Parts: sequence; structure tokens; C-alpha cells
Amino acid sequence: MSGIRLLDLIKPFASIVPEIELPYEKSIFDEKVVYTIAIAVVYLLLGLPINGVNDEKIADPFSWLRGTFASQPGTLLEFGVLPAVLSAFLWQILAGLKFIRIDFHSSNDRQLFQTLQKITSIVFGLTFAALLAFADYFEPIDYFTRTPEGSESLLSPSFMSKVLIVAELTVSNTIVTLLAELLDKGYGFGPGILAFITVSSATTLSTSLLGLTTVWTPRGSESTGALVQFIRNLFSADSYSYAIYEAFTRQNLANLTQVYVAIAAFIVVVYLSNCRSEISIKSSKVRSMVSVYPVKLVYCGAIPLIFTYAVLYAFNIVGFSASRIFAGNKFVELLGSWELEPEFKRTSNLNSGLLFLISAAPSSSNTILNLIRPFTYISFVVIVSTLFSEAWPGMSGSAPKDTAKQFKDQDLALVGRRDISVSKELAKVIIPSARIGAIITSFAAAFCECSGRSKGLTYGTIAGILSGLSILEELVQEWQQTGAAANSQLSQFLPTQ
Amino acid sequence: MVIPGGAKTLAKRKASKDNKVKQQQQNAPNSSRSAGAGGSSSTMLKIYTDEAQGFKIDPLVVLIFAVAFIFSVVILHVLSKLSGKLL
Repeated sequence: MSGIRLLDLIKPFASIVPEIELPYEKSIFDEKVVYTIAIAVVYLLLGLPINGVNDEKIADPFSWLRGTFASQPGTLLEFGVLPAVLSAFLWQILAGLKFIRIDFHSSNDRQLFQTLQKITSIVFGLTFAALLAFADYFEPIDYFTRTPEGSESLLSPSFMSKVLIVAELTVSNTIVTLLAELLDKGYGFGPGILAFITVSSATTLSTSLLGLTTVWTPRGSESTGALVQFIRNLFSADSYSYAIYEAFTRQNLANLTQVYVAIAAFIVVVYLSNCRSEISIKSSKVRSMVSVYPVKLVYCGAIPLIFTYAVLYAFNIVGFSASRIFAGNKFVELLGSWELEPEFKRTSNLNSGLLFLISAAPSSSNTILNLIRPFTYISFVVIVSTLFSEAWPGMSGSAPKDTAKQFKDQDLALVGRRDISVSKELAKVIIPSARIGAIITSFAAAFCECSGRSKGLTYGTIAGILSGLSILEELVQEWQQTGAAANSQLSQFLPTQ
Repeated sequence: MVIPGGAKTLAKRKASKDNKVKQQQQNAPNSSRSAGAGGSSSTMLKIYTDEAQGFKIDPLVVLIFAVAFIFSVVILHVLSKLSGKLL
């Protein structure tokens, strides 16, 4: 081997990075269920305000992006799973396109590759936290005075408290990475990242509909749940028509329109993920054993959507910090500028610049930008997701070539086809379904979001349900195929057949 | 010296060797799943499937550490409420 490989550079770090042991034996089904729930609970508990930050006085510029990253503003989950997702995508894409040389047959290389992704995830978390802290993102906005600059009278965070914020966020990000590792390594169900996305989008959707907590707003106290607020309105408002109108249109918290759109998207996606094309396969050893190999329409699941929004999220964090740190710079203004939402002061919204064109922020003051924004935004999301979905099967070992190899290893053949053409025949189904699935899901998500009114609820729901379904698939497979059904306490409640 | 098989043999051998190396490079797996180990699949984004060398920890330790971290942040909150300062 000539030259130094990237993997060699991280060898010195490998011994200090925490690494969870693989389970000694395969975990029992029930134990996995308990672990999964415990990990999800710990994850949600991390949604605790950062010490030194008043999470109710943060103007959140990323509210429309938080949907798939299980992140909450001003809390320890400020970035959610974003650093882990970004580092996984970054290295797996680079390795998939063979920009970096990794011999995946060698277990040593695989381990180093994994350590590399973990370190990158922690570094990303640290970088983002530092960027936002020094862009004064965590500085409280004075709630009731109308100065857009944030309040000077309140105690502005000192350097030490910024360092404390960065430290807290870095540790919590490391914990999130380790929790994801726990699930990935077979202590629980599903890839950790997808599990967290599912859990958080489920909680978001149910809080948006039925949340009982009340929030103090300039208009008085309001419930977080749209339905709860609607019922409260019916009892308190002077006229019913106002109560109904208000429940469907309120802007500061979730309203019924958003929730209904999200539920509609939920149903459509569940239907779509049942669409599949079945390829007849037979065993090449046993006669008259014909079965089907299903290729799902949404072949890549939520991954293309998650990738697209991860890219957008990263752009926005960098853009926002740049616009604050280098305020007044022309190039930075070209990139994007943020403005505090005047009424409720809970969000800062993109107002102009390149990033505005690929954002779902509420409308800008510039009419021309407003008019072209839906087109640029939808086409950006659809094109990026589609391109990614075409490449992803090749990067994740689920391309036609790999599937054909699996068939060969298991002595399977396509009915009526020769052995050599298996990969070609599979490609005819897999590539288009990956593409079409990504186009449909990303278009649905972008279309619902582009009005700027959905606040990430719809695409969060779509990504959440798609990730949830892929986890469920693994769970059901284990339930049915490994004899878990016979030994589990849950067999009283779940169908064993 | 006479080269068996004619003067072009060496060039041919080199070409076929190069071809073989190229083929191998093309066929080399580009993800851990295509190499037969677990990893990201079409619908899943997985990172951690191998047990790397390093600072080994038990799964329960992670959970306890996480909860301890959460409690320490809660205590920081309480302290800052009591002292009335940001830090």
C-alpha cells in the first residue's frame, strides 16, 4: 500500500473512543423490547433545557428542519441525531463512491471505519454547538419588548457560559451517539438513528394533536395540542366561528390544518409502503419451490428524505452562524438573512438569500423571491432525494448486483431467467422503484412544506413513519423467524402466526 | 535472450495483470453490507455493527451514564435557580 490512508490517521484515537461491547449471545426478544423502550425514554429525557439557556426565549431559526432529526430548540437535543446522520452519510457516501480506500473485507478496516464515523459525529456536534453558541443563538430574546436585537438589559452569556453550553451539548451528543450504537449493536430494535427519528416524530405528532401542556403566549395561555386548544376555544371564545377559525390557523403552535395534513400524509405513506413488485424466484436445488421476492416501491424508505434535510440543516446552521458572526458581510447576506418573527418571537425566519430559495420558511418580504421559492424548494428536495436514492442502493449493499450475489449464495434463481441475467433483471425493478419511491415521498413532503405553514410536521411524520416501518419490518422478521414468538411473554398479545 | 511466446508476451502479461487488478478494484465491496458484514441497508442507516478495539463499555453503563448526565444538568439548573445567576 502506498501513501497514508485516512483510516491510519484515526488509529491513535481508536483506543480512547468508548466502544460498546457486542452482546455475548443474541439478545432475547423481550429483553430487546425493554432495552428499546428504555433507550427511547432516556433519549426523550435528554430534551431538557440546557443549563444557562432559557429555551422559551430562543428564536429558533431551524423550526422547519427539526422534523426528522429528533431535535428540540434550546435543549440538550439541540441537534438531535443530526451529527450522527451527517457523519454516517459523509463517510458511507465517500466510501461508496470509492473516494476513500477501505477494504470492507477486512474486519480491522471496518472497525476503524466505524470509529471514524463515531469521532466525526462527535466533532460535528462540537462544531455546530460552538458555531451556534458564538453566533449568540442561545442568547434569550426579550419576550415582550420589540427590539429585534435581543435584550441588552438581560445578562448576556459570558464566554465561560458559552463554553459550558458547548460542553453540555457535546456530552449529550456523545450520549446520543452511544445510545444509537446500543440499538445498532443488537441490544434493541432497529438502527438507533431511525428509532430516535420514529420516537420523536410520534411524540411530536401526538403532542401537536393532543398535547395538554399550556404555553404562555402574548395572547394568553394556549395548549400545545391543536385539538385541545380547539375544545378550549369552543368553551372560552365569544363566537364559535372564531373558535373554529382560530384552531385551524394559529401560527405559533400546531394548528388543526397542519395536523390533518400530517395525518393524511401518514396514511398515504403507509399505503405507498405496501406497494411492491413481486419477482418470482425458485430454488435451484429443490424442485417446484417457487416463492416471491418483494421489491418495495419505496425501496430506500426514509433515507433519501433524511439525507436531503440533513444537507439543508447543515447548510442552515452554517449559514445562520455566519450571518450572525459576520453580520453585514455582503457575501454572507447573499447566502441568507434571518429575521425575527415579529408577533410571537419564537422563531427567526429566513428572509432572503440563496438559502431562502431552498427553505420552507414562511414568506419573505420580497415578492419575487416568494414567487419562485416554491419551485426552487420543491425541485431542490426532489432532485437531491432522487439522485441520492439512485446511488444509495450501491452504497448500502442492496444494489441489484449485491442482491443477485445473495440469491446465488442461497441457491435461488429467477423463474424463467438464466443465472447470468439475474442482476440485470433485478436492476429493471430495483432502480426504477428506488427512484420513483424517492420522487413520490420527497415531492409529497416538499409540497406540504412549501407553504411554510407546516413547520416540519408533515415531513417529520413522513420520515418518521417510513423509518418506523423499516424497524417494524426487522422486528416482525425476528418475531416470526427466530422462534421468538414461542418464548416471549408478548405472545399473548401479538399474533404468533 | 529469447522470450518464449514472442516479444509481446511481457506486454500481454502486464496488460492482463493490470486488467485483473482493475477488475478486482471494481468488484471490491463499497460498503460493509456488500462485504457480507452488517451495516446500512436500503432502508436503514446503520453505523455500528462491528466491535472495534477501544475503551470497552457495558450497555448498562451507557444508560446509567446518560441518566447521570441528565441528573447533573438538572442539579445545575437547581443551583443556578438558587444562586440566581446564569452559571
